[in-house]
Amino acid sequence: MTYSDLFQYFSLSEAAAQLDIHPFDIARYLSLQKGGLPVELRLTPQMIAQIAEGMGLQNWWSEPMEIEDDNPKRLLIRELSKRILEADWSDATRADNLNRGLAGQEYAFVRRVINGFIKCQLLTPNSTLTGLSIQKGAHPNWETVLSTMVDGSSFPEEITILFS
Amino acid sequence: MSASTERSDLVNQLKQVQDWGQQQASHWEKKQSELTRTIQQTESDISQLTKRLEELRAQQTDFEQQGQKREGDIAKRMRQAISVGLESAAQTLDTRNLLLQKQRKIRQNRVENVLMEPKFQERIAEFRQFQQTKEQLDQLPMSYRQAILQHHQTVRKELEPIFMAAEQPLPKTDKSPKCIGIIASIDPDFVQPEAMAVLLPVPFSIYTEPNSGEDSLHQVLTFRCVGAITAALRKIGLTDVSINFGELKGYLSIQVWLGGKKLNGDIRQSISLEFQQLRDYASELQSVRLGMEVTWLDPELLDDGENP
Repeated sequence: MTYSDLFQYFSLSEAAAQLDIHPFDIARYLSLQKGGLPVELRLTPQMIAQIAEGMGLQNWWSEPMEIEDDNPKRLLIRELSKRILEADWSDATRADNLNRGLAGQEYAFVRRVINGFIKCQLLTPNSTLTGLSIQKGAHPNWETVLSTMVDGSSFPEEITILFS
Repeated sequence: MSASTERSDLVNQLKQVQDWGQQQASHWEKKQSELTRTIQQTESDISQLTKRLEELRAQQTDFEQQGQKREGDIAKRMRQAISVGLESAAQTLDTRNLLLQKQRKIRQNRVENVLMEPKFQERIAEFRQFQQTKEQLDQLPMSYRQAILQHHQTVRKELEPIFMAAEQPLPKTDKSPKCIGIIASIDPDFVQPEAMAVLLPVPFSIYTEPNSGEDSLHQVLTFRCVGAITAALRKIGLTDVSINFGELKGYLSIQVWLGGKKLNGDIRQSISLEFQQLRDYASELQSVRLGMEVTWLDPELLDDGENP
């Protein structure tokens, strides 16, 4: 039996990779917890699970996409709209939750879409010490605008330019 | 005296006036002459002083130019010193990083030596079996589950020497201590700061290309500094500030925008306290005897100095 068989310690970078989050965000989060960062930066699976829960990490793309659309960019916009519409907005959520589960070009594109949604006041960003958080936007027709994006019938101009 | 030589009072009076007039003329002629000489002398003095003044003014201009050049030279040498200091710190981190890997290996070997002891082998096998099957415990009847958990506690207690060895702090190197410099800067001043930057002697790629393996000393230092800055900001009431990460001279710059925010304390002191705690408690830094000191510098010294 080797050391690593018996003891499951993970570096902060390994923990970040497991949680699909930037390691700096874990450092920022831990620094605000009681006792701050551990004396040695090695984390047990239990600590990593606590971090995930404490940071409110969510994977918005764990569920498969249900909408069908020939345009892959428009598909991502409609799927994101659906997820935003169905989300619980009683509390703010981490901005990276909206991307988590995506990779590569899809990840980068959805980031641009989120910025577009912020411009349209469908989402509101807030800076916090542990990173950017997102709240429901102040758009007067929030639900209607998102619903028309989900069914693909209409898109705000700021969003249309992203897929046309 | 005969009456024919006698002069009338009129003539005498006129003569006296004439004599007085000649005396006066002589007197004023002498005064005029003295004044003319004095004026000439003064004009000569003024000419010399004017010349001297021009020389002094030229000297003053020269001194001012030299002063400006000297300030420029000092700033240039300061920038060079900053570059050298950062390079030196980066090299120290490289060498101490190798040391950290060595210290980790020393601890791991100690634990593995304890693991090899025959008296633990049976219990280790049981412990491992529990680790592999613990997720299925919920499916077992309560009485089974309790018995297994109780037995696991006993096993864990008997393996305590191994766990203690694994939880020991990293051993300390016998190398001499080293200290690296970290640069901090506030713009425009500490009274109403608009922005703060902390420049770490680690490559910017630590931010842009996070890896998923064992943390290097560079990464550990960076994570801890990011944490220290975050904690310091919260302690002075800055909970909604934006922290950004940028590149400066190839190094990682942690930038905080403070414009318009109310500070409930001294930002310099808050940063200093958090870094002191980091220095005193971080096991990895203690292990390789690495210290750090934060130096506050004028933000102008952090640019390349080409724009006056």
